[in-house]
Amino acid sequence: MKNKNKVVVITGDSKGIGRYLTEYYLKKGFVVAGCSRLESGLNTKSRSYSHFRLDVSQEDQVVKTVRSIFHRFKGIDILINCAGIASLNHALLTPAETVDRIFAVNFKGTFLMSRECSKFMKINRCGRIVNISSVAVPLKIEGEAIYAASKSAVATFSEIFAKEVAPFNITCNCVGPTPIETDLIKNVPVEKIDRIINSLSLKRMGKFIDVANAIDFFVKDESGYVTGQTIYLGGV
Amino acid sequence: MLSKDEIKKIVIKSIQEINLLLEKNKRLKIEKNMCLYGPGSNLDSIGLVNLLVDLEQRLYNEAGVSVSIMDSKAFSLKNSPFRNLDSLVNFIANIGKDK
Ligand SMILES: NC(=O)c1ccc[n+]([C@@H]2O[C@H](COP(=O)([O-])OP(=O)(O)OC[C@H]3O[C@@H](n4cnc5c(N)ncnc54)[C@H](OP(=O)(O)O)[C@@H]3O)[C@@H](O)[C@H]2O)c1
Repeated sequence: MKNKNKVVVITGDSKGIGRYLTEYYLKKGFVVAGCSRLESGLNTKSRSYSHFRLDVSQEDQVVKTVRSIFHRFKGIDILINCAGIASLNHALLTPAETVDRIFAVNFKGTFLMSRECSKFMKINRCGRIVNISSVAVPLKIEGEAIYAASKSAVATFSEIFAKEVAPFNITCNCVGPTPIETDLIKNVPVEKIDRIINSLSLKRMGKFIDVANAIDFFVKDESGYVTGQTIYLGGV
Repeated sequence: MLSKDEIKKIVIKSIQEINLLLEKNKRLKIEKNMCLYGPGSNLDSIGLVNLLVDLEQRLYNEAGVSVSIMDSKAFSLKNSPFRNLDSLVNFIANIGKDK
């Protein structure tokens, strides 16, 4: 099997999309190193799964954790940066501290994980990075100025980082999901979600598998010639 | 922290490693006052990234020293620390001292 023993690092594995991806890639035969601040609580006997408690916005923690993952598994093949937070509010009512926090996790966390994992992917001259943006970027949704700006930063970063790591045979791409039922959006009013769904070409909520499917395309062996791309789901 | 001689040995190992990636006629000659990066060197910017990443990993794996060589100071110095072997060794030796 091609996937056997390939090591995939997934941030935000404790719940939501990251949790789904963790189970998805374990089922496919990958070795998964999941990272999030809390215990993952994933009930699996799989010896292919390890959880690392990590705040992706903390440089020293990221450096140490990525190093331990590499030394434990003797390689890092794929990184999926799924850890993210949102705080949806009118910009005039958003404290600067909230802006710092959102950018620290969504953007800086993605940057730090990409930087550190690439240093090890480089050793094997091969790697795949997939970052998670959001349709909030192209849809320019009111009330999401800060969140969307952080996700826009993730998309722009991915596109340029892709060029910088191309000489090491590492690809870097981005997936922008539509609303998916997770804790992240549980406080968003139903009417607002409906309005977003109505602005999509394909008018339905996103499913976990929609995200997994787009990631699958970017990480498969045959996609070595695909880099610096962002796929927004739902036909935005 | 390591002595300058110890650092130099590790830097040389990294250069040897990077040389393996370079074509024979582009390899860096390891000698006193060798030009590392800049005019007169065959090392391009990707080569320098390769060298510094290898060096950071080697300093950790072989000596347990965790440093970030590419901190903002490296670029603000009037004389680039990457211009030759000795300047790089001195720069690394000083990173520890500042902390
Ligand atoms: N759900 C949607 O509608 C939607 C739409 C578009 C894009 N997205 C994006 O998809 C990604 C996943 O979202 P989700 O809906 O699955 O959210 P979620 O259910 O709230 O899960 C977020 C995950 O990120 C982790 N996390 C948060 N802060 C962290 C930090 N500082 N360090 C490490 N891990 C951290 C959380 O774990 P801990 O709390 O244990 O740290 C959790 O595992 C996010 O980037 C989000 O922006 C979601």
